[in-house]
Parts: sequence; structure tokens; C-alpha cells
Amino acid sequence: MTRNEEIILLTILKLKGNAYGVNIRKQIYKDIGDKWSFASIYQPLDNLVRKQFVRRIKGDPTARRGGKSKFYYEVTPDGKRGLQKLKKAHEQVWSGILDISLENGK
Amino acid sequence: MVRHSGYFFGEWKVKRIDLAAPRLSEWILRILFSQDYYLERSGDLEETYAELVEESGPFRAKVWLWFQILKLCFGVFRMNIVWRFIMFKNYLKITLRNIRKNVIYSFMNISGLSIGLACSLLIMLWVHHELSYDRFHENVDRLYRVVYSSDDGELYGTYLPGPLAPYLREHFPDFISTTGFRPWEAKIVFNNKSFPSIGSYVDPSFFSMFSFPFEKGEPKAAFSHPNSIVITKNLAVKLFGRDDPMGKTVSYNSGVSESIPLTVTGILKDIPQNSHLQFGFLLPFEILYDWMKTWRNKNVFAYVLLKKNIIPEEVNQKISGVLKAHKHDNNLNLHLQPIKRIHLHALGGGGRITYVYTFSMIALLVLFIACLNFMNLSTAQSEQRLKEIGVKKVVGCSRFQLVMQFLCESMILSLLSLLLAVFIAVLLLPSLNSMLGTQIVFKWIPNLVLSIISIALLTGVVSGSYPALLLSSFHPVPLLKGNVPFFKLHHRNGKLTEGKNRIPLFRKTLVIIQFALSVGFIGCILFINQQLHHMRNKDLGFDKENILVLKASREFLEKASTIKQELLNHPRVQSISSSLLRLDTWESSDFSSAFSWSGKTKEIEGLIGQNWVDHDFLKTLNLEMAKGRFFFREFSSDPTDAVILNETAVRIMDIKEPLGKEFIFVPGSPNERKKTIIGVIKDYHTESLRQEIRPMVLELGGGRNVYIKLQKGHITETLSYIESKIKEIVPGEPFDYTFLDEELDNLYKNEQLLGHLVRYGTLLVLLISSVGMFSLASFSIVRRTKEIGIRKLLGASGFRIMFMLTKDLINMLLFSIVAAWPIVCFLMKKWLDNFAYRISLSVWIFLLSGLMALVIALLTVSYQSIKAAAANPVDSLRYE
Repeated sequence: MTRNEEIILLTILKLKGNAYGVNIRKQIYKDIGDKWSFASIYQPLDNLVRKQFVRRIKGDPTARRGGKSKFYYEVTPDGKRGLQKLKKAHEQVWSGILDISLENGK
Repeated sequence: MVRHSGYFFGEWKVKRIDLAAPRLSEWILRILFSQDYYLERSGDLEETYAELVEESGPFRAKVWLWFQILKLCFGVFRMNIVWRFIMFKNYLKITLRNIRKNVIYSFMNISGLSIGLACSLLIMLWVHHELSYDRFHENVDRLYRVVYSSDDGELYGTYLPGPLAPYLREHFPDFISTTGFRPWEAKIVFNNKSFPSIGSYVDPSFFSMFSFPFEKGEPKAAFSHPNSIVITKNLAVKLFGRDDPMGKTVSYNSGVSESIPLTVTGILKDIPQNSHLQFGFLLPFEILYDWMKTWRNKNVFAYVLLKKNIIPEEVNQKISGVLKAHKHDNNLNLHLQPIKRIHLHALGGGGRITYVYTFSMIALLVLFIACLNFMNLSTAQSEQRLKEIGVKKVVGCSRFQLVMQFLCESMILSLLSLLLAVFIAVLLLPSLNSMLGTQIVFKWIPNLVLSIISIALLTGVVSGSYPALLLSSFHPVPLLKGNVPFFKLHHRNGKLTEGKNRIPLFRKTLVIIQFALSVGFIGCILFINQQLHHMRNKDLGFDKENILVLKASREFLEKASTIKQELLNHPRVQSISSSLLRLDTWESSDFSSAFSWSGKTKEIEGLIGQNWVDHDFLKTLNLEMAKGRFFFREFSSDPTDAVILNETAVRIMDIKEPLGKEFIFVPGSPNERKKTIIGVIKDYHTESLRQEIRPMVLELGGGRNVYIKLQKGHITETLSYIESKIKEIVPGEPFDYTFLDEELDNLYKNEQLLGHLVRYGTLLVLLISSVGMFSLASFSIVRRTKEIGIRKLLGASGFRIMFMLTKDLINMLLFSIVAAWPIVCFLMKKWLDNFAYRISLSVWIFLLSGLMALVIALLTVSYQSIKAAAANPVDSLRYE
């Protein structure tokens, strides 16, 4: 799982059933402060769908979107398992590193 | 196309006014993504776009939107390229597996196409060489040769009076410079070593007009002194070896006067082969003989360099009357001929360009046949792969991918054959060079390389497209059921039906075209061979066997009677004669069309040739008299008072009783000569059989052309005797001899060349189509193995099965034979029109050509059909 995939997977989890393209992008902006392009959201999303970490659900057409359907995303059990594994790995890797301070301006 | 109804519905209902994203972006997204993904992406973008419009205005929103779309495009393209590459690797793998599976067929397929490609590659090289003639001159577009033609256009030539070139330069402002060019065969002597070479007399301006680069010496100063000579590197090496030739003095022996000492003032780089001007040395015009400097004789070429922006047609009008002004009894007009046309275009029309066209045609046809063959074989081979296609389709392969796969395969095959073709061409180039007498080398010519690669690729695409489009269109279910002949599947009332197990129309047409071309080639080569044979064996009116031809020099002619006596001492030398004109070309550079005779009733059209011959002319060449007598030594008046006409002259002049009539040369001028007609000689040919026999007047005299009739056998011994005698009497005389029959054969060099090339073309076409026929037959027999087995089981004889297998083929062949005949007839009639003496288009040649094609085709397929017919039906029925 790449870093972007991880971020998006967590965002979907956080949005709890209201995760579709626009919302995911907004949430990422809120959390990280970067405005991601849609292309960099869709690519990891497509990968996640292919790996079956995420399910795509078709919504109803919306007027606001020019009559086009929303597509919602939901994390599958596989995806959750993957996240748990990743979190564990993170903790393992970070354990023992107490302080990363910038000494001497380096 | 199925679209989501809700989507359609929604789009219909919702009004999209100012918040809507621009139309173009929608369209791009629709192309990039499939339906669902388009909906999502377009919807997300539109939603955010609308928010942005409200937040920061339409302009910034639009910029943002396009930036997003650009990024999306980039991502999609990157993915596609990666996947294409992966797919291509897969296509390549499948192609190689297929080649390995059917090694023989693949090899035949590839070799057939590569023969065609190699053939066209070689001919393209040759055509390129032919078209490159004289293009290396810097001023090529402004360089012209002056030529003449008669008022009626019947007569034309390039030999002009010597003073013409300087005259044009002085009197017409349109020319920057002009030069004469008088080729001359002479001997250059240095340190007692003499080398015969052909050179030319030219004006000093020659070097500024033509781009023949100097290796040593100054072009401008080369002819500042009249006793100068410029030689080519080739000759310089022969004469001086490694020494520096500059400033050395050589002795120039022209063969008609005393030797002159000349100083070498320049060395030219070797003359390229693609120059129509070929020479070993150049001399200044000043040392030209006086008889070449009069307006009366025509024996010098004239070249001019026009000023810029001058229209040659206008110059033509100005100079056309120059000859008439200097030579009152002439009706000849001058005009300019572009130098770049000289090599390919003959003055009277035609010329080598017709051969360039013919060979390009042959190359195209051979290539065409090879492509047809390739196409046919790929189609037949792909029939074997119906199951593969079925499985692929079931698994989810899209039609586009199938098409791509077939195209890739055929393109890979065609590129492989291109590689093989280059290899074949490299191998064959030396023999082509020796056949055509050229020195073509493989060079990197961008246009040529590009065109041959594109031809190969195009062949791949075209030949792959038929199976690609057809096979990929089938429904997978019948394909998987097996045993379905793919080409007769058609939808009838919504059901797939099977047709008869026959060769489909498309492939039939291909085979018919291929065979029609084969029959056409066979027919053409039979006609050409027959005409060549006819020309070689036609009775020319004289004996051409065992006659030695020598070119005599001045010294030789002075001592002619001594030489004659000495040579006749040898028992094998039968007789010796000499004449002014040759027996192979009509070269009368100085004719006078003014003749008269007693009882002249009308002016005659055309010219009468004048020849001087000696007493033994009749005997040596075994000519015959029609009336009267030939020149006799016993008549002392013969040298001054006797002429002999040929039959054509008598007929044209319309003299009833020619013997004893008076014949007047140049009537009314101070040179008038009156002679008596003492005989009429039977017509004999003095030119190639392309021309009619021309009227001719013979006077007693002789000339440079010496004919020696030898007895059959022991030729080398006799030759060495003659050589030693001549060297003894005239020291230093070169013994360059030819035989009359060889010299006459040379007249038909172009025709023989045509014969050679058509012969090779025929061979190639037959080879390619036989290869194709062989593979096709084996494919169809493999497909019908079961059918053959069942038929045999039910009691069909081997002969019947063979007949059944070849019936289709014979039908197609008969059809193509009938189609080919009119084309052959038309082409050959046009070609034979070039010859005044020609064969008729006889029916048996047509029949023979058809029969030959039939036999070859039957032989090709017989092996497989006999094998199939003789096979044990148990084996073939077990075959799966």
C-alpha cells in the first residue's frame, strides 16, 4: 500500500458512508492542508478498488453534478485488515525513536 | 449502445446554465473514460467547479478545471502506453509460437514476400542510378546540349559543325558560355609507353560549365596555352604510375596526323559513372583539325550554359535558323536539349526512360504478386486458429485487441521478410551490376530506405487487415464447436449457416490475379525471345559469320594493298574488303541530300546514303547483285564513272531501267560529279532491324572499316597471324578487332537486356506464385482430410479424388489465362511496333503460355494431391 493509498483509505473510513470524490478531496485538504488534484485521488482509488480494499457504490443522479451519479466508496474487511497491518508495522518501525529534533539547523 | 437510463433522464431534466463546466471538457472526459468512470469524474469535477465559480470567479475556476483535465489525460496516457507495451510483448510471443508451429509455411510466406521486396529494392536502386545521371553538375538546370532536327521532324541528331559553339557565344547574349565537345580515340605516349584512350576536344569554358572537379591544377589556367592536355586520374596512374604528372610532356597520337607534344596541366578526378560525358583526357579546341572547323561538316557536340532566368523556348526560336544561314542546302533547325534529359530521353522520343518505366512496372508487379501471396497465406494460416480466436473471445478479448494481434503478427512477418530481402539484395547486386554493366553500390539513400520500409509495413497492414477484420468478427460459439469453415458462415434469418467447403471468393480473386500475371509474364517472355531469335537469325542480305572487323588507322590505309597481299597469303584468309560505312549503324555524318539522275521525275523524301567500297566488298560479304555487275578491277573507268544502287534506292527513285542511266552528285554546284549506274545490288541491312532498309549509293573507294573473311576453324591461330603481319607492316597499330556477328548482336543490347529482366521477372513471379500455390493446396487438403477419407471409404478412386482436389484450381487457371491474353496482346503489339522487321502475334504462343502455366501449377499441387489421394482412409479419419 502506498502512502497516498493509505491516506485515502483512512479518509474514506473517517467519512463513514459519505465518501465520494469531492468529499474525499475536501477532507484531505482539511487534514493535511494540501489541495490534491483529482487525478492524484482517482489513481490510488482505482488501485484500491482493484486490490478490493474498497468497494464502489453507485449513488443517485444529482442536480448539482449536472445530473450525474455520485460514486461512494466503502472500506471492505480486507481494507480494514490491511490498515491494521499497516498500523502495526508503523508502530514497530517508529518504536524506539523518541525525538526527531532539528539540531544545528540541519 | 446501452446507457444508464437514470443518467439520461437526469441530464434531460436538469438545466445547466452558468454553473456548467465547458462542453469540450465533458467531451474529453467522455473519450478518456468508460461510462461509469466518466460519470463519476465529470460529476466530481462539475461539482467542485461550480463551488469554485462561486468562490473565486469563473476565470480561475476554468483554469483550475483545465489543469485537472490535463492531469487526468496524462495519467490515462501513461497507463495506456504501459499496457500497450505489455500487450505487444504478448502478441510477439504468440507470433513466434505460430512461426515455430508452422515452420515450413512461415518460411514460405516470409521468403515469398522477401523475394518480391528484394526484387523491388534492386530495381529501385537501379532506377535511382538511372535518374541520377548528370545531376551532379552544379548548373544542371541551365546546361543544355544543342541538337538539330529537320523541318519535318523525321531526322534529328547531335553532331554539329565545329564553329557553332563559338558562333553562338559571340552572337547570342543568352549564353554565359558554350563549348564544343569532339570525342576522339587516340594514343597518349609517355616514355615509349602508349595507352589508347577516348578523350575529347573542348573549349576552355568547359571547366566552368561542368562540375568535373580537379585533383591537381587550376581549371581557369588549364588551357591558357594551346599545347595543353588535362587527363583523368585513372589515365594519369596508367601513364605515370606514382610520379607527379603535372608539367610533364606527353606525345599525342591522334591516328590521322603526326604526333604532337602536349604538356599536362591538370588532373581531373575520375569521371563518375552517372555522367553521359565520358573521357580519359581533354584537349583545347585550338589543336582541332581544320576539317572539323568548317560549317560544312557535322561532327562536334555543342553544349551551352544559359544565363539565369532565361526561358529555353525563347532561345530555341532565336537559334533555330543558324544552320540554314550557314549551309543553304539544309533544312535543319537547332534547338536546346536539357542535359539532364540526355541519358534517359532519346531525341526522337523513347530512349532508356522506357526501360526505367518497364522495370519499375515489373518491380511493382512482382511486389504486388508477393503481397497477394503473403495475404493469401496469412489468411489461410489464420483459418487454422479459429479455436484460438474463440477461446480468446470467450475469455474476454475485445475485437480491437484481436485486430491488433493479427496486424502485429503480419507486420512482424513483413519486417522479417524485409530483413531477408535486404540480405538477398546484397547477395544479388553484383550479378545485377554485371548484367546491366553498372556499378551500383548499396548506399544510404533516405528516400529509398523510407519507401522500402513503408512498403514492407504497408504490406503487413494490408495483408493482416483481411484476416484481422474478418476473423475477429465471428461469434465465438460456432468457432469453439470446431469444424466450422469460417468463410461460409453467414447470418441467414438470424441463424449461422454453413456453406460448401470451397475456397472463398476473395482468395479466389487473389489466386486468379496471381496466375493471370504469371501467364502474362510467360507470354511476354516467349514473344520477346522469339523476336530476339528472329532478329539474330534473319537473313540480312550478307554473311555475318567468320568476318573479322577492324578499324583502320591512316597508316594502315596507306599500306592497305601491301597488308592485303600479305594477309591473303594465309590459306584461311579468304578475302579482304573495306568500306566507309559500317554494317551496324547508319553513321553518315556528312551526307548531301542533293542527287539527281537522268529521267528524274520527282523529288524524293528522305536521304540517300553514300558508301565507298572496294572491289572485294561483294565477295567478302557474300552480297548478291539484282541487276548488272559489281565493280571490276578490269574496268579502268569504274573508279571515276561507276555507281551501284540498292534495290530500295531504285524503287524510291522510280527508275524503270536503271542500268546505264546517269547519276549526278551535287547537281549545279562546282563539285558536281556525273557517274553511270552499272548495277543494282540486292538490299542488305546496314542498321538494326528496327529500321527499314534505306536507299544507298555505292561508289568505288574504301574506308576505315576493314572486313576480313576467314575460313571456319583455327580462328585463334589465324588471328595471331593477322596480328603479327599488321604489326610488322604498320608498327604500333593496335589490333582491336571484333567479329561482325558480335557487333550486330550488340545492336540489340537493350532488347536483350529487356529479355533478361523479363525472364528473371517471370522466374520470380512463377516462383512466388508456386510457393503460394503449394502452401494453399496443402492448407486446403489438410482441411479436407476427413472428407477425403470418407469419400475413399465410400469407394471413390484415387484419380477421382485428385480430380476433385485440382478441379477448383484448373477452373481458376483457365479463367486467369483468358484474362491475361488481351493484356499480353496489347503490350507485345506495342513493343513489336518498334521494329520494322518483326514476328507476328501467333496464336500458338498464347496457347503455349497458358499450357506452361497450367503444367507448372499442376506440378506444384500434384505432390500433395497424390499424397492425399493415396493415403489410407483409416489414417485420415483417425486424424484429428
